[in-house]
Amino acid sequence: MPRKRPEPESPSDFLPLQKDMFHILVALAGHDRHGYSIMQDIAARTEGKLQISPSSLYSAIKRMMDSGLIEELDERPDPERDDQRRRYYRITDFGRKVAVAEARRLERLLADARATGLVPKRL
Amino acid sequence: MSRDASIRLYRGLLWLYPLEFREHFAPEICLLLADNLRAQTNGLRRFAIWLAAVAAIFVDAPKEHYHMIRQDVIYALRTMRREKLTSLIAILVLALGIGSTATVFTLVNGLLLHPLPFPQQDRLIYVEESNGKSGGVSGAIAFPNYLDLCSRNRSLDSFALYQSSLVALRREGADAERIQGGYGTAPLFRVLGVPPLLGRTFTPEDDRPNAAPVVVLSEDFWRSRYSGDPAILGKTIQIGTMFGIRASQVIGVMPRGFHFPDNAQMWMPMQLDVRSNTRTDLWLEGIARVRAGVTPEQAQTDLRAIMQQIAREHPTETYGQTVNAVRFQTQATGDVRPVLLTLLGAVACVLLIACANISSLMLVRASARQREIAVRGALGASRSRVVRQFVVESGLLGILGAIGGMAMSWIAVPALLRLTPAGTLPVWANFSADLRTWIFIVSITAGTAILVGGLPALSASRLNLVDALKEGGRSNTFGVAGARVRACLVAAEVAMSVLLLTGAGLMIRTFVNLERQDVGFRIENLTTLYSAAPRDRYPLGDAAAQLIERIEREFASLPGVVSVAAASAAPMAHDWFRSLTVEGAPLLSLRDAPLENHMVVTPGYFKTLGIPILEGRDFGRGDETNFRVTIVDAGIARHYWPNRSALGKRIRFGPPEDNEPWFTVVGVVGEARNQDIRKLGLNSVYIPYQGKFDHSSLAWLVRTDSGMASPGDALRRRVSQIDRNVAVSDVTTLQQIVDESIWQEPFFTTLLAFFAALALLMATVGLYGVMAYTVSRRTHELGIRMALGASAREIRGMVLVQSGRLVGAGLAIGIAASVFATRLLAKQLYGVKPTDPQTFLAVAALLIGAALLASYLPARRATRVDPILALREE
Repeated sequence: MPRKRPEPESPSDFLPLQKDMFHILVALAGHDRHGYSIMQDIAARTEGKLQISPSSLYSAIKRMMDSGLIEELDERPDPERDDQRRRYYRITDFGRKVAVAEARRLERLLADARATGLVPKRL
Repeated sequence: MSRDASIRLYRGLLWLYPLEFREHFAPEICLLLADNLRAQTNGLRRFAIWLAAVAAIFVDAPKEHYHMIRQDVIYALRTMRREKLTSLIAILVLALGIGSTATVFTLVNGLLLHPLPFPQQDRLIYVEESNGKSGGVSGAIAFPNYLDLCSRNRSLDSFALYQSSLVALRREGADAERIQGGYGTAPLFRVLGVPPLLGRTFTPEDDRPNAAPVVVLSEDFWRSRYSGDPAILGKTIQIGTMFGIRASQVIGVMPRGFHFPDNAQMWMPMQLDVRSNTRTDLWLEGIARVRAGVTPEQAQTDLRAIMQQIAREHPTETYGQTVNAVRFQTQATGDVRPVLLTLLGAVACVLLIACANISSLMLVRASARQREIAVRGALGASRSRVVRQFVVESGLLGILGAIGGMAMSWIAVPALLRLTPAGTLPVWANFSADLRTWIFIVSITAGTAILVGGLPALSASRLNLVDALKEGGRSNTFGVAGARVRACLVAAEVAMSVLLLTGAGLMIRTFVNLERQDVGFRIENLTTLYSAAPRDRYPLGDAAAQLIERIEREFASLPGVVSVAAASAAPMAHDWFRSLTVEGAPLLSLRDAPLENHMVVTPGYFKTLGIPILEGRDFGRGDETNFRVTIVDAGIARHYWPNRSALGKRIRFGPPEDNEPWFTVVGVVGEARNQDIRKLGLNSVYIPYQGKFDHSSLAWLVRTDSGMASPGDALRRRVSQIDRNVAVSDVTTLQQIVDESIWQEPFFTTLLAFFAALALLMATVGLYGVMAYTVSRRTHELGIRMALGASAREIRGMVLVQSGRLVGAGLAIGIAASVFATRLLAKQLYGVKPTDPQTFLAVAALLIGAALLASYLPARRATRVDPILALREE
């Protein structure tokens, strides 16, 4: 059973979301992961451009857990692949809402940039 | 560095994180770093990754602390909002404790710790001769002795004599006025280490007897009177000094803020003549700068050895004196030092009581929140987190209390300073908040937070979660230990209150004794002022005598004036002492001859002051020609001529071997405390004024009808009408002079009484809190007792006995502590012993009364417990 965290009022309270946090949410959107897996996923998606240090990653994880964006799993997702030493994290429903809200915000920003001609209509 | 070593080092650095974070994430973080390092084959890249990870710790760890504390603060604020009344009381009590402490510390800092405004001021020492007798000679140095000490010492860099004196300033077309001046020997400015702003200071040539008069001005005086004109140097100004009116050349201006001694506005060289200043003329004060590396104690040893040589060389002029040398700052604050330090002790007690009270309150709160703490613990909040929560809460209370306290101190310091008469505090005293004040306030706030939050935090950390949850919130686990601790806290509060109440009680008795003191003269309806007649227009003799008669006549003609007299000084300002030799009594050496207060007065002095003439007569106009007459007070008459009349007996003054002329006693008057109303046994002799005494400063005493306002302005106008060149100063009333001479007592008493009342109130409230809590906790037990037949009286008695035990223990400790502590007050007391049984009894009675009041309500509530309800609740 994942531990319940209190949910804050509204996803918009978190916007704009910190870059590290958004990446973590995106990494967890597909499936539950442990810290190293999150880091690898972020590195793969950003072609190694975003390097989060271990301590920064867990500072962000802790803050996201405190805010109810993600939760730590008591059970291991796949006993075959499971590394017993590691803690696994899962995005919460609220975390999803926050990630969606952030993605919308970015979308709007991109739309604005296109509207002003700063960014070409089609890249 | 091997990979294991680098991981170990990294893990070590994770200690920078809060414990809770570290406990939860440290293994994972290390694992992650190890994974990252393993994924790299290039050694240099590996090192770069490690270095970046290490650097990130230094950025992230402080942020993590910040987030955690922020959460705690938000939580604490939420708790405070939920328990508004308790929090408000706690903040108020802490504000009173911290505010009182900060206020007294500001005074202590401004007076005792703030350095004097002179370079390397810790090397300045005050030097005085003393014969070590109480009420004996001290506080001055004879000029010839000074010269010997100057030339023979090996410990002083420089040494000067100084004297504060009012000087008359004569200006064309305006009334003459008197301003504060200072006389000094040539090295004075070198001793103080302050160079002039303009021009120069004294040279040894300026200080020779009969040298051309010169003067150095203060910056204020130069700016206000001469508009800061740099051409002032070389100009002459007319100054009426103890040497007469002198046209003095301005040779320099001192920098802004330089005033010494007192609030001096101009300085003149002393120009003393060793022929007219003997080794027994003690009226000059000494200040010296010790050589670098020499302590005041070493300087004192050096100077004492020289004084012994001097005594051997001049046996007839020695009076058994030695030399004292103390840090100048210590001497300058000597009067207020013990008062302030006692007050600091008193406020420390108040602050401790406040802390004990709030700590007790927090314990109750913690025990009420026991279940909440247990639930948080069960949900994963670590023990350190719970402890930190309490520390943050108490820290927040401390900070809010400190803010309130600082506001209180901001109002209280100026208010207290207004209670001190002008001129009693040194000019250089500085009461603005400096770094030291801030460090002090931050330290006491931190200390307060630790004292207040420490006990609840400790109990919370020891809480047994399982029991606490099982008991379903009925506080018992840390209720029992907590109750014991709270009982101890209350006993300590009572003990400290006793200490403060005893001190305050003794001071109140002192004050009452002083107020009731028979000073020997009538204080009310008496106006005093000083006049200074220029010696060039009124040379000693007939001219001076005529001027004084004229002023007296003019004053007497004013409506409402009952009588008028003049004297060498007003009461309380008197400090002219001479040795006394009685005809027929064995001739004593200077060392053993008694010192008497020596006063020169005009006829009518005794009538004006209300001093009774017990035998013989007052001085009269006939004494002008035959002035070898004297009036002694009853103390002298009783001592030398017991059971006989003193009239017709002869006495003489000054060093016994000097063979000054004899004076015949023509009257005996009542004893008056001319010098200090606290001092007993200092007797006075009076001799008539006949125009032969220095009138550069003459005190006038004018008695008016009762109910009439002080005619100070009218008196001043009359003098101006007679001669604008006669300067008038210090127009005041005798009542004011007496009040100012004992200002410390009401000041000290009021403050101490305030702190004692505060302590008593807090202790009473503390006791009430503990008793009320105990009764509420024992509801079930009391219900059973009542069901089993205990009467209301028995129940009430039980509660009162419990409270009596606490108070009794506190009282016993407090009284024992007071017996020792009040000794420190001994010097401030007057007419009451430090162990005055009446005061101790009164304090005990007051405390028992307050305790009964605090316990009665809980005791009454205990008897109203409904046995059925109490049992059913269970």
